[in-house]
Amino acid sequence: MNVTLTPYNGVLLTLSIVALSVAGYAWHKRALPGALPLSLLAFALFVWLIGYAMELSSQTLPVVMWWVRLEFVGIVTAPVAWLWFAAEYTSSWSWLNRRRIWLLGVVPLITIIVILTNEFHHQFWQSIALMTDGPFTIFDSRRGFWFWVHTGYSYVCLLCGTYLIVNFIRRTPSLFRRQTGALLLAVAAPWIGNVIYLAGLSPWGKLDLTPFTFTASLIAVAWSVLGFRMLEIRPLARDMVLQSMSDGVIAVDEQGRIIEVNRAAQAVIGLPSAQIIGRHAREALARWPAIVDRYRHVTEIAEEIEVEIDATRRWFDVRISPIYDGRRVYRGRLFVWRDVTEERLIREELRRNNERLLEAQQALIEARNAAEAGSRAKSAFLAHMSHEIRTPLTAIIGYCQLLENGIERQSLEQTRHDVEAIHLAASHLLDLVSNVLEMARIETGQSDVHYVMFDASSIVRDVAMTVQPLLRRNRNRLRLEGIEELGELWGDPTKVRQILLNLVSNAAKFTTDGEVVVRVAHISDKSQPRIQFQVSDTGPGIASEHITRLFIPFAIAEHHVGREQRGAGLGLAISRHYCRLMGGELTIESAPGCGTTATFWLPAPTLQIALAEVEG
Amino acid sequence: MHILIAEDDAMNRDVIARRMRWEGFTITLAVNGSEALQLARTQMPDLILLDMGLPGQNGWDVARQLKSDEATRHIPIIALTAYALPEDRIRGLASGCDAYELKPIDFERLVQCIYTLTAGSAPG
Repeated sequence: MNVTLTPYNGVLLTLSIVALSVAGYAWHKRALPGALPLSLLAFALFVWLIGYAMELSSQTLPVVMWWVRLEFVGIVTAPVAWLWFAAEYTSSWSWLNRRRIWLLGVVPLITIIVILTNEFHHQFWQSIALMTDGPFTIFDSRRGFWFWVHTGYSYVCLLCGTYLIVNFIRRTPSLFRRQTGALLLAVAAPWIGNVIYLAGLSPWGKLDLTPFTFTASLIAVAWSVLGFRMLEIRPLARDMVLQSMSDGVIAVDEQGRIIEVNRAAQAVIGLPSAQIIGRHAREALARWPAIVDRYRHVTEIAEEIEVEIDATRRWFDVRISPIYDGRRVYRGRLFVWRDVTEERLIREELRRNNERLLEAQQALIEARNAAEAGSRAKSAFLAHMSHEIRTPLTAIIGYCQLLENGIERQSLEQTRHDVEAIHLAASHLLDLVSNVLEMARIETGQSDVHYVMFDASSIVRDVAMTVQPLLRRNRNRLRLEGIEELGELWGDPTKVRQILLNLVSNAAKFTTDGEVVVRVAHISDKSQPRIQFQVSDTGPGIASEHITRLFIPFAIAEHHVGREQRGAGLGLAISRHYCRLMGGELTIESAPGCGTTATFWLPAPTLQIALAEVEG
Repeated sequence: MHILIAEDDAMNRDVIARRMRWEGFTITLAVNGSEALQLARTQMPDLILLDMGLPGQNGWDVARQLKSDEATRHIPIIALTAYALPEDRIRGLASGCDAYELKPIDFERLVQCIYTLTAGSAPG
């Protein structure tokens, strides 16, 4: 073989080495999108450049023809590889995946066959000749029919690839400026070379500039794509993001087959990705049939669901979104879920803490209000106590002065009356002081109950006797009901007497020309048998808003009742407290004009207590 | 001199009435606020001894009404009360009472006060 080395084919050979290096590097990275077609493009250019260099250096037609045929392997491959690269790198023509790419190679393959068999049909070259143009030996030919098919096809591929890349640059605003420039150069270079060649503007006459400019394009692409490591980083970064997400991610196609699964999802499913991808979702997720059913036809949702995993209940935030391809055609669904159990627990805890805080705040407010109310009630009580003490003292001192000054002049009967009045007023004072002290004892928790079995009916009769003077003064009748069947009672007789006396005295004080009825009965309609005392009067009654105040210590319904009836405002508070100490309760029912009924009950003695008493 | 005593506590009423009679005054008794108002208007006493803590219409109300009525405005009122706080005294005087005497009653002071308030009218 006679080969002449010129600076021109030296450049071509240098470029071919560059192309081969790019091919090798891209082949090494072929798993990444765009790398395999880039490698093919570089290799095609390498073959083209080598062939062209050798063509230009060869002296005889058979040798030239041999290199030209080799050159055409690169020439027919380069536009197809370019289109493939553009489609895959910009991921914009999803139809053209690696399974269908061979379809692009049909025309180039036919072209190669046509070239190899040209001497039989002359469809590619009608005639072939060698001509010398300065230092070059140039292959010259008249082009046949298939040459133009090949050329047209190559231009279509170049055009499509160029369109995809320009479109990609346009819709990727974050692309670096230099990289954009390099990609634009890559797009423009083959066209510039080809236009110059076809227009006959080349300073080197019939020298084809296309392999040079195409190589420039290759270098620009390689620099742009590999130099910026975009090829590696972008998909890698995407994959890393997907895999490192703590959220589980599954993508399924229209048929429900899993096409993508990340590590978090694998952990939940409990299988490696190789055993998940390609399987139907309902098989891979067979452990959760309810969930598969729930989302079988759901393409879009965001909700929280409860799932049992390894016998523990956990909460998941589930998001489903439809996947559409570039042409807005539905291709499947993306499932993303996140374990929100901890969040939920924290939320619950926060809510509970918040409730507790609100409760504590409410309790504080109530305590403050109670303290303030207590303070106001105590001030009112002191003023009231002063009044209540001064009133009987007025009588005592007044009668004493009357006696001092006039005892000699008045009758014995009058004197007896005055002394009795002094006695009564003093007794009233004593009661007052006793009640105040008892209330103080109750408030400091020093009030005790001394339980014994006692005859309840005798206590009722005793109280009835005690209140006789009060009843006579207001011309009231007293009726006792049910005391014959009463029998013995378990409790503190002193306290029971005091409660009853307080209630009957109140009834007698507030009622004039009426009736006071004391009813006693065994009640066994509830689980706990009880002894119930009822004191009803035909008095004026009490408005409902005042009834609750009756039980508040020191807070008497001032100015609503006459002085004759008023006490220190402690009687009912003390009585209710005694009832509760003995396990019972005291309530008051009344309405203005309808009289008042005070009811208190105590637990009835049980058989055990009665037996204990007998045995004791 | 005719004195109206309005007092709801029976023993206090008895003590005050007897002591006033003993002083030589003519006495009319009222046991509640409305009775006091009615007797004051019908009998026109020379002076009223008015308990503040009366049932129904209390002493403050009675004093206010008597003092706002042209016919009874001139009748001196002495508040007699066991409400001993300074604000009770202010409240009593504000309602129109001419004097304010605390219980237990200092009768010598009270009689002195009665004469002072009724100066000009002959003791009877």
